[in-house]
Amino acid sequence: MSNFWVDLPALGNVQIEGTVSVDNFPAVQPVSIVPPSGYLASNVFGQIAAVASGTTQNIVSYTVPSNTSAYLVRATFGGQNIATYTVMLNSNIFDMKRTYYGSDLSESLEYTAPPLPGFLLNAGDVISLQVTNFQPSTANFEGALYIIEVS
Amino acid sequence: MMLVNPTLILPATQMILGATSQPQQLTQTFAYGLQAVYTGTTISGSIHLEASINHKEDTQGNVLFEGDWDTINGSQQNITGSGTGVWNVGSGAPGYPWVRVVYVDTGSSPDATLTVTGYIRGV
Repeated sequence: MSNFWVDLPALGNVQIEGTVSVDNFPAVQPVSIVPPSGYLASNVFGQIAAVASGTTQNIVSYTVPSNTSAYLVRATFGGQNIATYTVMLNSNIFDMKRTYYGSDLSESLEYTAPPLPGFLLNAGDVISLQVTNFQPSTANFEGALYIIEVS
Repeated sequence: MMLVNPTLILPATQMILGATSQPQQLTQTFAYGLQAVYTGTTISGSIHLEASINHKEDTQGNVLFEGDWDTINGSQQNITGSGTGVWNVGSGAPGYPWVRVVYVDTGSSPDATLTVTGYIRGV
């Protein structure tokens, strides 16, 4: 009898004989990056006028549609006065930022977390952006929520 | 998990002529086994595996491009009598999509025959 048993790892066993030619590989082609199928980028924008001193008001809200997930990518906001901006998730404080003297009156909060495009939201989640005006005068404020919906 | 039933990739072939099996496609395969069965009055030869990356066949097994084949290191065995042999390859996706068995005869008797059966396990 002349039996054998050979165990081989799957990788790294090909013995290259001769010369490897790469002449037939195509030249590098330009690449354009497109969103994956099923991703819809959008933003919701809101403005609110004459916010009274010492009060908190909602600038803009977004509700994740049913049967959909979404990523909160970014919140941008600004106004005529220094203020505190609060991002709320389902009525709970999610994030906060202040503007103050000597800095920009417009700011942003970023939630990208590569490889994820942002903070994952589930269907029915409500994100809202609120402003609290601490100045003695009334002021106008605005803001936007940048969202990627995944259907 | 994909399991492919054992497939005869080299029907009984007279060894004195030498033999090359049909290529076995390994797409989405993480392990595979090949079994050679050889019998005859006198057997003398060697048998080994070859891999190809650029070989092409359609879904009916028609060869669209006869690829370049290279010996898989460590696969070669000398056989000097009737018996059987198994190559057990895995686990892990092989870096080549095609494999085949090649037998080179060095003095077998005319009654010696070789068959090879392949079996793959996929993801």
